[in-house]
Amino acid sequence: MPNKNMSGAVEEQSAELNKLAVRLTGIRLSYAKLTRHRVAILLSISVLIVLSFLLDFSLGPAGLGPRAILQALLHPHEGTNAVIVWHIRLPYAVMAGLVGIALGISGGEMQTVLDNPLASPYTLGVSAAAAFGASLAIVLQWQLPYVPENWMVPFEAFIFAVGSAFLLELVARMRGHSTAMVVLFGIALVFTFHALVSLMQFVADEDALQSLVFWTMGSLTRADWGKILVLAIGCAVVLPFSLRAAPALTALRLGEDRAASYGVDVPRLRMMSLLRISILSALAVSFVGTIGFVGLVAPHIARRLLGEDHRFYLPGSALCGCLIMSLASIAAKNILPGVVIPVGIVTSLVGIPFFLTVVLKRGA
Amino acid sequence: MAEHQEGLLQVQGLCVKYGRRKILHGISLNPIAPGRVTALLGPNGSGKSTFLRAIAGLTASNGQVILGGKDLASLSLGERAKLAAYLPQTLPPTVHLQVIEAIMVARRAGEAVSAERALQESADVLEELGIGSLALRYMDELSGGQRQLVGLAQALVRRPALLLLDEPLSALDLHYQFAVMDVVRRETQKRGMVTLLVVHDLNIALQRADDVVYMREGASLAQGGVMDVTTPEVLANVYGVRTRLEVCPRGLPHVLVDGIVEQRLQA
Repeated sequence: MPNKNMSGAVEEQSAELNKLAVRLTGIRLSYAKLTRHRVAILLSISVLIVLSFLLDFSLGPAGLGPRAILQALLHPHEGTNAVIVWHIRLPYAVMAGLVGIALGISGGEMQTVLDNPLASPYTLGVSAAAAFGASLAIVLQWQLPYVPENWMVPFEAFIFAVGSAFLLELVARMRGHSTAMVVLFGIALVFTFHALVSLMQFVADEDALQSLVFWTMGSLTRADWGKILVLAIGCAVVLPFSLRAAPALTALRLGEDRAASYGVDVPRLRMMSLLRISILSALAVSFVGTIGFVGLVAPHIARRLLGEDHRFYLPGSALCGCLIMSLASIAAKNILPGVVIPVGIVTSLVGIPFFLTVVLKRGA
Repeated sequence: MAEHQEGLLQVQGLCVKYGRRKILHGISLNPIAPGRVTALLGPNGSGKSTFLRAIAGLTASNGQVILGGKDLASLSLGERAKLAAYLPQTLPPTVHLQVIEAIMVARRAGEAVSAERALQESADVLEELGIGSLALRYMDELSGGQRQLVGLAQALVRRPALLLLDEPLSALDLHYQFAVMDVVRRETQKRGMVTLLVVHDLNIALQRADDVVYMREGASLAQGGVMDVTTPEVLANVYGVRTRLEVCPRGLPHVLVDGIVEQRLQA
């Protein structure tokens, strides 16, 4: 009898172990499937970006056919078509994508480190600060030594954008301040810089006023290969650091104390992240002007599609930003025949309904 | 020698100040042996949470915290996190992550661990805690009690020698209060950890902890085996209440509160 009991117990135990092995395999398979699913989504967005880029590049007021475009691409120094393709179409389309990537990743990281779904370079004053910097260059004609004249506006915009991002960082680093305080401070920055820009508009002469107003609308017509190169280098340098911080950033989503108890140096993580954000968002807005809502909307789409594992969420946010900007660029050129509307206007108009849906959904 | 004993926790003269205000007035504890659950008890504002945070290294402090012969204060945050796991008072937030992912994140956030290894260890710890079936559920679909068990799994997946739990039961219903306490007790014994936890319910502490530390106004008033130090005098001193200690027919201790101590109110 005891023998029978024992063999029964052994059988029970091995059945239990079997069940466990099946479950472990199940977990492993399902995790692999989830990862594949996310990679597939990232790839699909990339394909859409390529398509959108091709469309963006082939549509425009000049109405060039595919053959003319191909001809111009292959012979960059011959005829007006080549000028249109190489100096207008291509730089605009590439700049749109790069600005989208920069704003998408800045917004994505910002929402995580400030723990606020409404954080973005636009809502927290980085864009407004850039506009003020630009207004100094446009209205007061401030010149700095060693800076070429056509780089003056983006340069001064950059200085102020970085400055405002560092102010945010300083407030974030102060002891005893919650992330809500940082967000409030950012909103205060928006109002301050808007007031200062209005002041500059008030004192500006007619020409300066016109260029300043145009600058604040955010337009891709300022793109050229030099600026594209600078922004591309910025993205290429910053992105690997963002991805390396991804596991720690995901942990931060679980709460500051929790992340710290897993060995994450939270103040350092937050500081480095804000540094990356300030570089990318400042570069983007200083080259093309104020672009609203891309930095806000892209992370929300990425979160919904890919979840909150930052190894997927951050690249997803960058790619969504890229796609939105590219689509906005197409719309900007084709809504009114023969007119290129400043792209910042288009993104804001698309962004506001989305913004409201997110807010209303949260309330429900 | 006691100080060289494997896994022993020693706390000497632990002080914490917020600005000029002293929160902890140099707390020293008798050495705590591994495999034992110690409950920190005391009224609100007595410094229990601060004490745990100071040991975890999340709050700046003076004094010594020595675990298995190593002074925790001399370690980096990452090193310290490998030895001591801390569970905050709040429940894990409802982020859109699968349970298995949330635990992998806890494993990989501060340390370079391959995804495969983190996945294996995370699945193992879920099985050990008896919540393997939750692995593929999303955090934002779970009940509070289930989330707290996931929080425990996040703390345990790094195989800490010291487990610090700040009110792990406060947001839970009766079933999960005992479920969490039973898991804590079982894993503490099995893994030979030192476990310190803050609880509010005296009766759960008496039934499920091995030792207790009574705190009041940033100082330790009494420390020892649950039944050795829990007396009506100590409880009157700590909480300002009149109590009786009764043992039920099954031998379990119960504290019955009769009312408050009048003199303390006037004092």
